[in-house]
Amino acid sequence: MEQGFRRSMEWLHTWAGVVLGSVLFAVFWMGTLSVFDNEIDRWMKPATRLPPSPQTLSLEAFRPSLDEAIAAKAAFWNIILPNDRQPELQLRYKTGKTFVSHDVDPKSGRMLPDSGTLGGTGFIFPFHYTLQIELRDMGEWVVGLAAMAMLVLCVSGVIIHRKIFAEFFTFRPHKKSRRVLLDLHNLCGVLGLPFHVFLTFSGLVILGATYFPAGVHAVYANPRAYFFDANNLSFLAVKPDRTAAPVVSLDEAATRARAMWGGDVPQTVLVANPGKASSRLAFFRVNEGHVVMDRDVVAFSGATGALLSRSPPLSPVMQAQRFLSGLHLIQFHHWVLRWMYFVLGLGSCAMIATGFLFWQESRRKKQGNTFGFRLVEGLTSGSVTGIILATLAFFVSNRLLPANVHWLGQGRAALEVWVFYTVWLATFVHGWVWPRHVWLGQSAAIAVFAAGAVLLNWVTTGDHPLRTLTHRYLWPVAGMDMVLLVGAGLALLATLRLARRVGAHSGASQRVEGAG
Amino acid sequence: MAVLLYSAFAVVLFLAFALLALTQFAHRRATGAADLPPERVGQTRAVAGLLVGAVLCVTTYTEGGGFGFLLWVGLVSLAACAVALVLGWCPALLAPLARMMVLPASPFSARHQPPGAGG
Repeated sequence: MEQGFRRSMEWLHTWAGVVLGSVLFAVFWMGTLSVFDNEIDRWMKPATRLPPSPQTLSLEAFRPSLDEAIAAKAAFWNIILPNDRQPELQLRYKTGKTFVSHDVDPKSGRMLPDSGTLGGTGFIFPFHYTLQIELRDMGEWVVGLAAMAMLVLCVSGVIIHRKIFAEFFTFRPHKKSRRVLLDLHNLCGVLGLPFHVFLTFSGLVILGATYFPAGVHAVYANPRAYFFDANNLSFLAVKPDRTAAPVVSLDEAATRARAMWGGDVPQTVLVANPGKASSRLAFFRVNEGHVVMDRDVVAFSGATGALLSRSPPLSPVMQAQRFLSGLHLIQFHHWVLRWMYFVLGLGSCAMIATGFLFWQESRRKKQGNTFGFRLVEGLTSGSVTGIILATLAFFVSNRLLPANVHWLGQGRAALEVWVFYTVWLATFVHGWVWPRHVWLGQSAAIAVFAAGAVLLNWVTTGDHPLRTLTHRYLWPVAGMDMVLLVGAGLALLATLRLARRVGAHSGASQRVEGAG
Repeated sequence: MAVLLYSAFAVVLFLAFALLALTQFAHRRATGAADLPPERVGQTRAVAGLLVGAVLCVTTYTEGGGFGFLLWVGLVSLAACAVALVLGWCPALLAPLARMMVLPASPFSARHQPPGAGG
């Protein structure tokens, strides 16, 4: 009975992993990079590499931009103020379906040149939970399915691990490759188990309203009401009054909001329906001092300046939800934890990759020439080394594409994304057409692209690693360069080992042929 | 100061997991140390468990409940992984600790050891 159950779990673990492993690797890889999405933005948007300024301009200094939004009949206008991870100030407004967005130097108020990239926050982070498939939220559903599968994989993995305690610390690097892969898979799986479970479960909780809409429908009249309530935006539910009315002093309202927060500064300023009698002026503060995502919002009437609302204290259920969201989204200020998330995220990627490779090594001799095996082999290379290579190509294209380039009706930011998808697709084709040396070839390409990205950053911006390491405000760039260099080194090591193995195999084959 | 504190947490957890690993025959053999008597195995595991628990208490005290717990979970994973990698690539690094565990006067020994105990 027990053996039968364990065998069923083994089957489930194997096939859930093989079928959804590609999606899981993409989600975990992009999630791991998203830990440093703002830092990736610094690397990809050189114009925003600004030294910190002790004093920023007053909010009223941005009144011309607000007037511009009012003239364009914008639905909203907002400012995201600089912080520890984002030195530039962001101005945004929306007219119709068009977003107008400007990065601004907070010290001088000078508009920074358009970077022509989506960067980490615009491409990598949304890819993590949508796979950039927006059609009917299909991407979110696929990610949700993969997340549920991940929980199943975690549980079934523990059940089928025959000696979970006896082999808790077992890693035998000098054994055959199949054994080493299984040891690594077990090591990353068991020792990182709390991380895999917490992150996967909290991810499902964050997108809970998408996956379990029945709860929202039961409580709220419409999804809009839920959205307002969940994001402390209830002050926006107001009957529109189109009578023209100027927006009150932003600085005076900000001073009142700061007084309510005991001196804390707002991070975002929002004006909804600017220039109308029913406009709303809101200040958002996120407490970075703890894990719980405690977002406090103070809202005023934009036309009269009257205080309308302040976020109520969180109920215990919402506190639990916000703890899980905070644990996943890492909006808090804790560099050691941020790096720990990054390393553990890479551990999750290693676990998925070694699971895939172990599946192949176990079947290579008997099923190496079958269609199914070849299919999974190509899928694995594209999913593992392929997406890493595509990400690096995204970075390299960011440094190589000229500013304001347009091609086939696509702007620079879209072209970077096209480079990503083209390289990713090419790696799948490479795996299916030339499976023999796919790992060797793609590892070598990763080493070249990673080192090339660092070199190109140096050549195109003048920010070489020595300079970025010695200037505190350039540390995000230095960190990215260091990670790229370490990645290049590891990929080079893997390439050399694989090349040695290929050489040994071909030597042995020649000897066998000679003896024959 | 914070760096020193986090390093101390990591070192204590590494030590705790190294002790746990070195109560297992395969890892003791890898470090070239003699096997442990059963009562010493129990005592060592209790000490290691106390160290792991103590780090949780200290991290939650110094960092607060949320950060402290997350830090502890992350450090536990990384420290255990580091022990496994050291045992895989360079077990000799843990040999002194493995040998110390069998000494009658080691911190992991009972107050009254029978003669010859500890191999």
